[in-house]
Amino acid sequence: MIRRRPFFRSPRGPSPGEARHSAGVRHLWRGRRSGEARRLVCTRPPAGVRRLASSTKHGIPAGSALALGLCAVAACALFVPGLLSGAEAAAEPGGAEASSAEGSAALAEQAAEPVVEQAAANANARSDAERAGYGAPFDDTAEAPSAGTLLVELPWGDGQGQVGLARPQDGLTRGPEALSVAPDGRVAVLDSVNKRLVFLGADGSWSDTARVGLAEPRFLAADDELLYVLDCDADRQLLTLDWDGRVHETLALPELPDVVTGLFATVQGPCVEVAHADVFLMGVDQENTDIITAASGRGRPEQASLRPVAGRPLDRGLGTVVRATFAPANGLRLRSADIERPSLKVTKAAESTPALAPGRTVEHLVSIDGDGNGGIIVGMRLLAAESPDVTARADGAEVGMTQPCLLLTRMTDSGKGHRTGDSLLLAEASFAYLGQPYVVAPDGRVLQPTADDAGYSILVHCFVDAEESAPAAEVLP
Amino acid sequence: MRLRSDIHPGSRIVVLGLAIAAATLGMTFSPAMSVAEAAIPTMTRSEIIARAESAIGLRYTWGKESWIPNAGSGSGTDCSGLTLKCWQVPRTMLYQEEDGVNATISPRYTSHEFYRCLGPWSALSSRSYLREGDALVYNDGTSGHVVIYAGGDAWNSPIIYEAPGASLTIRRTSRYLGSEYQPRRRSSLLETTAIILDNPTAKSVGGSDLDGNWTRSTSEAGYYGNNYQTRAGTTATSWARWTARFPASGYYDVYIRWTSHPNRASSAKVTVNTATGQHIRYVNQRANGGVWYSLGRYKFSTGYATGAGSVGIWATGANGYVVADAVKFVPAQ
Repeated sequence: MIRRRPFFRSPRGPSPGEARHSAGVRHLWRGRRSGEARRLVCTRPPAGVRRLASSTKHGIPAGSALALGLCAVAACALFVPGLLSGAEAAAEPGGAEASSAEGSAALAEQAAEPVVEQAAANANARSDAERAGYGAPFDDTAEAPSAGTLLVELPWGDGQGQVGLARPQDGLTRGPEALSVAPDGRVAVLDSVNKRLVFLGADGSWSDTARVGLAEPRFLAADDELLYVLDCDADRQLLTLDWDGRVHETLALPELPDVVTGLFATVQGPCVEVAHADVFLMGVDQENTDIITAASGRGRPEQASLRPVAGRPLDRGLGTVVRATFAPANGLRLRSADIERPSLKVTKAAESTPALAPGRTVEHLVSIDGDGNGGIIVGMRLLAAESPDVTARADGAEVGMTQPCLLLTRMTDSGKGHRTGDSLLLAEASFAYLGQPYVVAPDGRVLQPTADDAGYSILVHCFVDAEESAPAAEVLP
Repeated sequence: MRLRSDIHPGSRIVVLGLAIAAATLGMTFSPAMSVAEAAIPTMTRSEIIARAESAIGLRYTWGKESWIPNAGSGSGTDCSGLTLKCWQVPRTMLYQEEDGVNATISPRYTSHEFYRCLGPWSALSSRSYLREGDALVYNDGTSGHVVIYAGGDAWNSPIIYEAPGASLTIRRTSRYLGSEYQPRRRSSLLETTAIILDNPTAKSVGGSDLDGNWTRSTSEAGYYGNNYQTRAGTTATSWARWTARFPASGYYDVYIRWTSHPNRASSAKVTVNTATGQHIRYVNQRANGGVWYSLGRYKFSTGYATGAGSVGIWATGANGYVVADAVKFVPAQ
């Protein structure tokens, strides 16, 4: 295996804008005073740092831009129906009279089938698609992952300016489980190993910490006033704190149909996503006490009805939610719904099957987030073999290999449904455990945690439009 | 001992051919695969999941791979032990190092062997091929971790079973696993939409594995998998129970299997536990051996619940030997 170094440590060493604010904390860009920063603004990258753009004026060669444009209008070869049908079509063994020996022989044959059929179907699907003019060969010179801007770098440890890392020889390496960004730009990092929250200013400066009295804090969500921390494995409690670290409420997590896959802060209260599907509003809903789901304190949850919302909330409200499914055979399917309050019933729903990565092999759906302006940001993981070479590392180090990439596509709401917009390519951070691949801030910026043996860092990436529309932050000399 | 020198020249061609075929089909081929594959029993994905479910709540114990399911105590397991146990990998299995030197597992497989495919499993070329019961493994030479994949709709944060680490319990959870985690698939898997649970998946009184008084045997033909287990009729409480994780709510046709012999119980009690209650059936194990014997159609709910989604067979009060071989749940059309 080729070991990869983590991406984009401090670009070219300390830059003119870099300052050390507290022991062990480095952050490159200091913006306005954090108290005045009502909207996160995207700082422009240092000269020479490449960024994925959607047009030639942002530094992509004209030919490459043309190729990108052609790709955008081409349907995705990956989404040919039946791509993986073979895997699901394996017949049941032996009839009622089949002997054990006969069954065993049949089983051995069947056991080898899925990958065979998948691979064959894959090859056929791609060649068919290419014959039809779809799925043009990937041009690895067309674009490079966004280098991003280093917001903060926190060495491993349990002191001021540090975050914890637990790295056993055999077992799960654990670092910070989550980070969240408030609408005013402040950043909270769930330093789960040290069982605390780390508060950072909008400019990445170290602010404070707050103890988290949970055995295994896993999920974090925040708004301007409150933070929610969820331990869904050990204590099964949802903690509500403010940005001063004061605990407001502890809710016992009710019995849920499956495992928790997400936590969201909405104006109606914290929402828990289960198995990438149903979303449940937690805590006291002032508008509808029927959906109180948990009691305060460490006691048993109240026996209240647990009513799911039809999808993941966007833009910090339950007015519009979206649910996504992805399979290589079927592609991406998005179902957005308008939710009536307080009944939580769907009043209007729309489905779409956008082809967001034309010409490339998508391995996963990664995340669905709101962009803060009514749009949706869909993150997909590209298959490593087809990801572009990462040679644009800000520190100039040679990589010489392919790197898995995350393709984020912004879909804007034109009033007649969502339309595919610009995209952002991220090199997937390489570390044993990072908790989250990235987090979309309320203003649409993308914060990506990375790490290496020295510490934990947060990179900030921007969609091009966000960069143009947002005023540049002050960069102190 | 150098195993490679023992391979017949003709076999080398076969191995080479397999390697080329595997590479073509997206699988990473390891020479050890062919060596070890023959020794690993065939099992279904639902058996892997059922075994993982039975470990939930137990403590992580480094270097161990055994547990007494649902009993709250036991020797525990670490991450690789959980995968080995769920995959039914024989502990004594040998593997072949890349340099051709054969070595005894000492103490046993770890995440290193899962990562390097030094056992009866292979790599998948894409995580999008993952199906329940496969594994995701990470190993950088100094630390490593391996988990059982349970689903997750191909999201980057799949639903998994894992033994995370010291002082933590085995759980079904969801976790973001980045590109460092590579997909692995056990050899000798039976791909089927039915849920088939063999006797190694069954649990006995107290939640322990179906050993002890339930003796393993291959004497009578017609058994499912590698063997079956028997227990003489007794006045003590004695049962074997299979619990399934149902992927979807609905009706399932339930079957049970045994090997017949004149010394078997003629009216062995079978209980089918559903969300609507327990249903009792009696089967004559002196006949109908080696077939899937229908117990009827029942409704089950999504998830894993011993009290509402299991089948048990009782040696208590039986008038002969009772056989615990396998059960099957087939989604009704």
